[in-house]
Amino acid sequence: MNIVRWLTTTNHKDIGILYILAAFLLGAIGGLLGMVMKAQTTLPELSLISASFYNQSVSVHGLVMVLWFVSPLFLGFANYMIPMMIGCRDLAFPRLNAMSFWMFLFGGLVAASAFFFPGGAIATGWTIYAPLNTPQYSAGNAFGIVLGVAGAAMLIIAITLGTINFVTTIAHMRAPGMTLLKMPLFVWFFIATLAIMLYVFPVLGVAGLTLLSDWLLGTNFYASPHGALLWAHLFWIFGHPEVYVILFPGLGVVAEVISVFSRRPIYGKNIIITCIIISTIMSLIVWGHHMFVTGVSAGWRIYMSIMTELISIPFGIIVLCFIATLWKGSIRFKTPMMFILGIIPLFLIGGATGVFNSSAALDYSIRGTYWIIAHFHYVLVPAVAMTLIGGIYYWFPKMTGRMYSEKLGHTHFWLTFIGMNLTYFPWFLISEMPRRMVTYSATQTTWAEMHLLSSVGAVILLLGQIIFVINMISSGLKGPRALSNPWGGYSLEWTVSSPPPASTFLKRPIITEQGRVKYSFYPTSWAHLENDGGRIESNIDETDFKEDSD
Amino acid sequence: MSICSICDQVVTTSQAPIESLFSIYFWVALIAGGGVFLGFLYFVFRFRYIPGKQEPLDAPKAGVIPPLRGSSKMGWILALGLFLIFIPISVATKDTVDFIEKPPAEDSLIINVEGFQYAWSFTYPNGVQTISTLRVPKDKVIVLESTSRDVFHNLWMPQFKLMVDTIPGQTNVVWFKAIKTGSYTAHCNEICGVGHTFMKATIIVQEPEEFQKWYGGGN
Amino acid sequence: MSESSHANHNPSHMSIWPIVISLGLALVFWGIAAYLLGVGLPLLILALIILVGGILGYLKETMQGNFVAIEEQRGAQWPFESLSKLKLGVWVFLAGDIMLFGLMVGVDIYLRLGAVSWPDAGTVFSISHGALMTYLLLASTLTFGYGVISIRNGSSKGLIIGLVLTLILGAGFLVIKLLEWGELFSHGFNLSSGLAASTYFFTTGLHGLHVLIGIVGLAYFILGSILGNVTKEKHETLILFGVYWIFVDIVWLFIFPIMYLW
Repeated sequence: MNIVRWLTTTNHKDIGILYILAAFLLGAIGGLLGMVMKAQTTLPELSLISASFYNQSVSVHGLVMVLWFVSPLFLGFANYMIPMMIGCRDLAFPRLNAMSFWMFLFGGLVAASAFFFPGGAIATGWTIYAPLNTPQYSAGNAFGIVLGVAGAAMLIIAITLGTINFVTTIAHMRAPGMTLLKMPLFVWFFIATLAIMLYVFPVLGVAGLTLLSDWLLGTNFYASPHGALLWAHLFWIFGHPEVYVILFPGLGVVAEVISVFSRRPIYGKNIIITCIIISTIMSLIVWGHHMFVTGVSAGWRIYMSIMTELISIPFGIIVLCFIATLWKGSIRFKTPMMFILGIIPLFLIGGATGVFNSSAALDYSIRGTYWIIAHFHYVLVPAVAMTLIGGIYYWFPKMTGRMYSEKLGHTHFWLTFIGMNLTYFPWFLISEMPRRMVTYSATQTTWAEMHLLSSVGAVILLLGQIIFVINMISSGLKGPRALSNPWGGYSLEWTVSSPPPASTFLKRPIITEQGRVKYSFYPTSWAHLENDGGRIESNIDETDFKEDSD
Repeated sequence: MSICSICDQVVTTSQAPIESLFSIYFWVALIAGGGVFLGFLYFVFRFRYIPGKQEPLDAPKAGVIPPLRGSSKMGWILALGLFLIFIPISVATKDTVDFIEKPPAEDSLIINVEGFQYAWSFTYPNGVQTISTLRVPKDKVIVLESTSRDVFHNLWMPQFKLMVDTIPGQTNVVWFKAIKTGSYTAHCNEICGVGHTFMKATIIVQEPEEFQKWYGGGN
Repeated sequence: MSESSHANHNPSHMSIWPIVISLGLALVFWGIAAYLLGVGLPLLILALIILVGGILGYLKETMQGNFVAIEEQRGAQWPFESLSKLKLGVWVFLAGDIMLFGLMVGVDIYLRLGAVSWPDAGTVFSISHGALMTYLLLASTLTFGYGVISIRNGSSKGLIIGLVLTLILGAGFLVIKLLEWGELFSHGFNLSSGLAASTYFFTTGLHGLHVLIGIVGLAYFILGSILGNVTKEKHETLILFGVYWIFVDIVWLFIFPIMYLW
């Protein structure tokens, strides 16, 4: 366990592992806060925690889960797998890659450290609405807001550096013959993520910096008359595309896993790519559905309603293509596939209830209620978290060189599936309960019943995750050795050993017209290679080609 | 199926259009989603691996980019199909938005609502102001001109299927017409500080004569 | 980003600077929090030392070629064949920066259009000062271009002259801006003086920060030119820095009319 290595590494595989470990640490914190909130609302009129701490838990749970749990998880996979999938040996700017990780981690610690300062962590909800977020109304929460936004600023720096890095890598460092259309869908979904991140994180940056300026420099952007709507616009111009940022990588994992474990190529790869591009563009112009009751004009609301409904079309097509992949397949129910198959009906529920939310008229009755929380947990937990966990299982042999326990994996899946449904489905049935309520009256018997049921589900969900951690640790330490391609995958990461050598490819992969990989040699010395962009001509000699062995 | 647990009561005139809109969405979602789900289950069962089953000819192989599968024609058919599903629900939404948008052209009672940390104040045209209780007559259009004294609140009236963001510096207008007497609870539906959970109001719908007695004679 | 062609003595694939810079920035925020708690400035000062030291260390590591990134020979690069890795990286970064300023200007316009009252043009912000600043920045892009043309013709001296002039003009811009701010503060018009003040100080401040970063970059390239690292054959990073500098100028060309002339 060489500490110096882990603190100074710039290798994409090391950084991938660091991201994934950080994701689980931060996800545990977010999940723990969720459990605290669930415990508090299990029965009416409980006071396990104060209203102030409840508001802090609500806010930090949201921020940590969206920004600091999902992002490092998919960035970890992207870091580890994408260079291998496109046939190169590291990212374009390795030091910036390392800086992305450390900025991200320290940003999370800065934000979370607010719990230990007077006034506690940020307590405005993860949406940090104005003017509650200004010094005038949250003076007691100063450290929470300043440190929370500061941590987010560091995250924005991390993501900006990462975006530059990945865009350059994918544009520039693909192996010969690895055309854009030949790349695996995981890379395409990640490209969509990159495009959206490039667009929306500066928006969050403007919002965060102007808010920090209100706190530290005395400006009054958000205490002024239009401040509330200004914040709402800025936050949701960021916030809505952000949910697609966290969704796409999970769908990328689905695309890979569903194909490999049904033993057939993905159905409609080009259709899916078209849908990815269309939905990426559309995702930027639908933010108004978060603002239906703010008093904005009816015409704007109707436009946003219709556009939001239409955005389900590309996603619907993507899901249908995933299902079509199973046709005439030979489906193996290993743990990764269990997770991926399990999320399909759950994502259908989440997505369908999203269509309800897109209606500007219906929103008057469900906005900000437990229906909304149920909707987004039905999208977040299955399509975002469970898919990425499926990815952990899928790539676990590759990253650790060992195989996890299938039995524990299946147990984890069933506990998660059952627990998740039991936790979140009851919330659809209490749609007249507002969000972010620390407790509720004992006269609300339906609310009490649903919350109790939900808490039972939460315990089951928690049990599942404990089994997951046990599986990961024990298999990681002493599981059976894994082959380089235990699942019969096709993408290039399955052509190297498990775990791969430090620079992955010992010979340079080249993709032929027909899509088969051949190998050539890397030059033996660095001296003649320029560091400013590789303007030299390729010196690969035809005679250097060797057929890959079958 | 309705979206709240007490919806056997029809309390306002807005309820019916919203309930029927919800039904449209619900049945479309159930049929489309349910159909897809059943198809999915069938595929998973029918195409599962049974020992001895032959590996498909185009199964993934390491280092081989899989062949393209599927036709773009199928993509367009799916897009068109989904688009057609969305037309009726879009039209229904637009119609309902139009209904909710403007109060009907009848006599209305305009009440100023002001949210503040942590209660609601209601001011009537004759200057009467009540805190935390909103009395309204049955069968009359009530227009709520709503704002906030401090932070972003939201007046959520679940039984009326209605809510309005109350934002400092601007006035948002919503309306309802109650057709059943009773006492209903309104909540604050936008986190506004530590007292958010307890920021409630009671809406009392009275027979017009009773209301007039209270209103005309001051409180 | 190395401009150096001298031998890399023992280039490593490890680097301490990413974690140092990140730690420094985190400590800056904790230092601010500590200051707000009344514990004083020591933590903040230590943090700034670590942060600045980390950035300098990173730049030094780059300049001396002590870090090696794995370079891949050209593979499939459509549609980016003619762009080098560094150029692509810089343009992606600029796309993000364009979003940042685009949004900021959008916020300024949104607040302005919704405001009940706003000071008339020329009454608070001196148009002549603004015009002078505009002229200085525009001139600085000319001097930068002069420097680039010089090095393309082989004249290292011309390059240094051009870069130094650019730095003086850019610094002049910042000096006038600071004087302007000082004058406004002395008349009681400061950051807390309302919405016009907030948008003005924040937007010009954000822009000024970008100019400051540009000046640090200019110093880096002046040093590099003196050391002979920028040559007729190898000056791609210089050009890319020029793209950044011109971008900063173009942003000012949007800010000037909105803040001063409207």
